[in-house]
Amino acid sequence: MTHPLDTDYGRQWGNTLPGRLAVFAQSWPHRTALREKDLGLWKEISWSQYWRFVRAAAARYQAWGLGKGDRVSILCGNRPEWLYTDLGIELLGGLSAGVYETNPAEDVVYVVNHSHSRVIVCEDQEQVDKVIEKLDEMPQLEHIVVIEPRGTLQYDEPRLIHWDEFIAGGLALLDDFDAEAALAKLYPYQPAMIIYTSGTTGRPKGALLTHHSALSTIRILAREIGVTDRDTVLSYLPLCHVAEKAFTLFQPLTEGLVVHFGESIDTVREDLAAVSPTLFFGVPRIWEKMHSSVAVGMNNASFLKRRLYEFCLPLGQTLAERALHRKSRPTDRVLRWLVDLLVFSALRERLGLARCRFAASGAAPVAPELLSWLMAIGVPVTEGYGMTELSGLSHFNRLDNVRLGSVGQVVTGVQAKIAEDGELLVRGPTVVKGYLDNPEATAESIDIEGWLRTGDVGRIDEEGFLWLTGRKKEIMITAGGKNLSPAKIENALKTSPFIKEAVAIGDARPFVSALIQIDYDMVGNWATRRGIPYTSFPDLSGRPEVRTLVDEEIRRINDAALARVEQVRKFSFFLKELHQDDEELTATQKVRRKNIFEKYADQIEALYEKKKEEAA
Amino acid sequence: MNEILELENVTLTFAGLRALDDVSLQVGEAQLLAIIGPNGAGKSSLFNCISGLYRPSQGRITLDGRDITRMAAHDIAALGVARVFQNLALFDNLSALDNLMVGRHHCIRSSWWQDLLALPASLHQERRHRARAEELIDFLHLEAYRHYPVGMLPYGVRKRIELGRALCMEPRLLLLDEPAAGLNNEETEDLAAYLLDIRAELNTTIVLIEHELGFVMDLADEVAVLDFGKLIARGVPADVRNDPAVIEAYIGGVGDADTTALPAAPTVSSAPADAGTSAPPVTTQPDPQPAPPDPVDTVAKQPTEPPASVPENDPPREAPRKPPRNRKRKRKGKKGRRGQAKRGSA
Repeated sequence: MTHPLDTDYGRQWGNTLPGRLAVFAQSWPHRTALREKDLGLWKEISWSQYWRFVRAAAARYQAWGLGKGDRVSILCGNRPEWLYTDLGIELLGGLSAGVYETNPAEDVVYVVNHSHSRVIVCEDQEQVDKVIEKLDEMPQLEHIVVIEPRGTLQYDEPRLIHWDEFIAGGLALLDDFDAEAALAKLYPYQPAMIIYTSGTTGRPKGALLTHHSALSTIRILAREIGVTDRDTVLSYLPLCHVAEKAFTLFQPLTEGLVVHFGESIDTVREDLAAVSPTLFFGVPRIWEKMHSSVAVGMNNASFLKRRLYEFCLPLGQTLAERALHRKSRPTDRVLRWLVDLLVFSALRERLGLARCRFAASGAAPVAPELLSWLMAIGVPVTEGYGMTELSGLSHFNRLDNVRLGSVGQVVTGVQAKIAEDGELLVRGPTVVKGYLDNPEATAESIDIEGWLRTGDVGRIDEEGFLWLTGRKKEIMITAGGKNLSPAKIENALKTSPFIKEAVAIGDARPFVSALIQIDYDMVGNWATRRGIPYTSFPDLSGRPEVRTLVDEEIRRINDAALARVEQVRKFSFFLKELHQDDEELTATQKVRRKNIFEKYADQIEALYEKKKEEAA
Repeated sequence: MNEILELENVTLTFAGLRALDDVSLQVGEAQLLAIIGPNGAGKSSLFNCISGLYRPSQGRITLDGRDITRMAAHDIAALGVARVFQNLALFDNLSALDNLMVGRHHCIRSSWWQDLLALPASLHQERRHRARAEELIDFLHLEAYRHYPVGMLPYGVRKRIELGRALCMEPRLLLLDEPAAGLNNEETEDLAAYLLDIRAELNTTIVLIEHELGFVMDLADEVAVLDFGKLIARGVPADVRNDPAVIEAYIGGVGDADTTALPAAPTVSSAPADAGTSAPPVTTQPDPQPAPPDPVDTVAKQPTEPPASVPENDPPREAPRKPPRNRKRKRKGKKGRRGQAKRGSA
């Protein structure tokens, strides 16, 4: 059977995102496109139903007078409705803008106003309340769609419309809605969505992705890793982020694979184990969590299990290492089979990675130790590099050619080079059109020849592997004149299961120090086991035993992973957990260093003060 | 209003001690009635009479016009009266889901041998009950705990499971004995939102006993006050708060009734319509003090802050509150707030 995209219909419409959906719906009307766990059961949505809901959303938008160039904000967790409302506005030639659910009301207002959204789609009462609270500040907002009406039924707000009503209205209009005419008006190089950058340094900027840039990225990747329609993914990271969009939207619409939506953000682990996707994208935090959950599990496991794990892990590491350097011995296969049988296949099943054939890590630098642990337990994981402005991806390690610690080689069709100041420049079809309503920032980032300044510093070796040092703006120069990357130090520290977050300090300082946030669950578990009493996070952080524990961890990491100048000499604890609401983290849980430095200035100074006293 | 529950001159005596003394009370359909009163006032006894654990010495209790005074507890439950006890009464070794399924027990119609043979009727029934349990899991956001033994779960979650189990019975009347006891602020706020949702969506009548006055005053349509087994006041929260008899029962003081007020939030009841206005949402946090174990303490300590007699035109001690509307479903983020107050240099 010919692939849907190779049919005449496919060739005609297959160059935009909604067009591709139409193609799959035409060729495979009854095949499963999406699965959603609802009331404890997995429900299937076929390609034709998917397309029908998208058309219904579009028809409804059209009835509201929305059309080409109009924007819809989506303030919602991962669920099929996200895709319907997103592709619906894209079908009309408009743009979607995702808003993080964790954003406070002010940030929601910022995105809605900056994108001039006329409609906002909210998930539930919690999100609606944020919008209603600030309604006066968003005069252009005409409609608020709420997907889960619970608790909002008595709201007396004329602009509010519930999902059932919204979609029923759209379905009723379907007969008069000519989807092919709408598709015919789309062209691949028009902006399809606005993806806001995380804004670690300032206000988020809205990158404009076109259908073409969105599809090219993934088309390239899909070809290189051989994605087929039999692959499955789990949608669980925020869909406002380009990486999850690539896996939930671009990738399935490229090859027609099946997307799963779990129950809630709290059930990711269970959902992952249930779905066991073949392609999986994880951010470092996810891998860290997996690692520490296994560490805790093994501590609590029976003697036999623990010994088996302790015996198999080094063996797995050796095997992985040999495979990495292509020095596998003939017996390695047998050994791998053995360790899988004894421990690792069960372990992978628990983690939900049993069927995974390609796991990618990205969005932030990951510690190589973590990747090698994953490889040791038999997860084919590789690190990649991309950013919103690259529609998701420009470099990745091919599974058969991995360099640990490098983010890999450039993908086909994309060029990369290092500027004189060490900054990485990338050019290719995946580079975005620019930033919304921000020509200065666009000019600053993308030069006349189409090279995108990534803001990351690194080097490319003779084999084409990219080795990143860190963000250009974050590079610290110690008082001794050494250039250091805080990201490297922080990631090394975060390999300890007891350390959840670390902020390295060293700019214009005689030595490197760090502010540490302990992992409350892990350290709490450790303390309970040792009978150390504690009541709360600050109390636990203040315990001398915990200090000793972290001190030992840092010493170990200093020796194992850091060069002399990078070693952390002193540290102190955050006495609270960092939080987005306190402007300490971005919506993607990245540390906002500038704010931290300002907020904890006293604490940082104290780290260096004491040293002087000791010297005196 | 359509009366669901009616108590007529109910009296309960234990060896001459009158736990309930001539209590008459009506509860209308979909009403949220709070019963307050000092320790030993007879609140739990009243619940025990309604749910059939105690037999009143005198008087009559009717549910939907049907006399239930002498009925057995399980028969009353079958009529649609569900009760959540003050102390947790869950099966610790069963999963959250199984605990909820227990709540469906009274609806199971198949016999044990049908179940044993897994006959179609039996399986069909199982699916139906499971579906109902899943709806409540969704309603109370218990997805993440479905398969965990209840004994492993935190207290706040267990409380929610117990509420879910009561709702599994599809009750017409829900009796809650101190639902907010032992919950932190956030959980209390969530609970209030759940109760409002239960009433709005399931049209369930709720009677609750509560010590935390702030919680009650925010939430209830009406408040009934018991003291030494007697019903001493009944009305909307604002009126009850200023009722001289109530103040005397609670504070035990003499004081000028007009100038002393109960220390609870002074707003009007939380009529459901109120929740729906587009008025700017309220940002005030719930009462910072946790639910105290002893109600007399709560009330007795409070007046020390404002002097015993507060001038009438004095501004209210705390901002007026409305029913909490922001249910924090995604709790993940909120966790970060722990211990924020104590930040300092190490």
